[in-house]
Amino acid sequence: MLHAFARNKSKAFNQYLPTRNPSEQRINSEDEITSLVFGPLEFLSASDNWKIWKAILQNNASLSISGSLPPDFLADFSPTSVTYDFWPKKNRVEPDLVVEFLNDLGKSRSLLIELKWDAPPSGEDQLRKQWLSFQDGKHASSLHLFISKRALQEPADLHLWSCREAGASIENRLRQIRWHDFKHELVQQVLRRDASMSLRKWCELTSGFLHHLRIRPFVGFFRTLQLATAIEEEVNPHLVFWSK
Amino acid sequence: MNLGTKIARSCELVDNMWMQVEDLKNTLNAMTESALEKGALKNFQGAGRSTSTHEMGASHWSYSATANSFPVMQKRRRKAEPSAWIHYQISVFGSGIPPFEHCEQETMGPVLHVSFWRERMDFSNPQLCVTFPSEWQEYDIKDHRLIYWADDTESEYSQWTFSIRLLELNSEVALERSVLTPIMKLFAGESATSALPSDLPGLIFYAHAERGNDGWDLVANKSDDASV
Repeated sequence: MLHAFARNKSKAFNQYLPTRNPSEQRINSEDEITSLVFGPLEFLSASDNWKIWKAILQNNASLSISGSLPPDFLADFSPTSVTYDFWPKKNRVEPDLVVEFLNDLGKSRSLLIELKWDAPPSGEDQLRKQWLSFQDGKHASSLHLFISKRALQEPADLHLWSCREAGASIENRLRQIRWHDFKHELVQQVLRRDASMSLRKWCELTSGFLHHLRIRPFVGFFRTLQLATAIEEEVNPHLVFWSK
Repeated sequence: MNLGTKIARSCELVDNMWMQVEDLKNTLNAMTESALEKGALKNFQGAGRSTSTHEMGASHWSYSATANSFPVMQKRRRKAEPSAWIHYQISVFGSGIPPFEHCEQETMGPVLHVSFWRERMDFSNPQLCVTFPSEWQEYDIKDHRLIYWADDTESEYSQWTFSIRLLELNSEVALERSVLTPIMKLFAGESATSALPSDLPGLIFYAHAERGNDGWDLVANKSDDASV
């Protein structure tokens, strides 16, 4: 589908745009967007996956909202495999995605991911329940990502996400990333020569899809000014202000 | 170009304008939320999710203006209850465009009005949105650039509005410079001339104009000199 959007063969993304007409049928867009954006990553190599998630986690805007990254998560780790588990269920708690990386020593790094499009988290303690159900006992090697259009208005109680395991740093393990910043990292990756062709292609197609969904930076009114200039002024022959 | 082409192009232009306004709103939202999150707005913090309202054009086929409002409250309060709002009103055409002084043919063009008010934005009430001629009561204009409602005994802070010509906003850097920085400076208690210097890109200068028996009205200029 990403290819069809990129080549203008489909306008199906329109169904994910905020509707102005309340009588129009709304669809559950979040799960479909999750699948469209993250599904292809499952087929990329572990090193490509590590590279893009590392870039997303190190995004400047995200760091300014969530604080420094726990250094023990990224340092000295080269994954040899990656698995994607979409909508896993445990104790009636269902996050959107769990990504798990393994290296050749059997050590793991995992990302517990909750994605929101227009809606806020479902219930105040949705994130808390996810972290407790899925990452208990694995805090030292995990991060919890909340990707949304807007940062959480009322920050969660961060004590829960500080590490309780020996040897791990205490930086905030709940990371907030806006879709705008997520897309920014994808666009940067397209420009990088050291990224693999497959990763760059995914970044290009996915950032294009997000652009259709109005995740795009403000660049001024250049296009509008061009159109306005193109509507040339004409002297109206019927208007005569004085006669000779 | 024949008239039919001009009409078709004009409609495309309006559609395009709103697409870019949407990008502008998204960016302003992100910047404002980040400033509130980082505590950059002096004594204020966020007090809930922002809301969006629109003003329909006469035909009800398109919007003439849109506004995003961010509820805020003083930092020491614990319960999330808005005590004021930061409003961004984007007027593309219609009554939200300030009239030029001494010039009835030209308009100021699309405008962004930035307000800090104790009231919610409401396009159906001319006192609760930026509209011309204005129906506000007891306001003042500070240094031709900041519409100002002085502090009263019941509240601890003043309310204000300033306006920027939309077409001058051409990047995120420009938004930071002409919108967010002035807001932060006004919250920090800086003067109107310091927060809104005369060379601020797009800044609109206001003046009073006589309206005969109807009192006086607000008119606008692109430069400080003209309004003196």
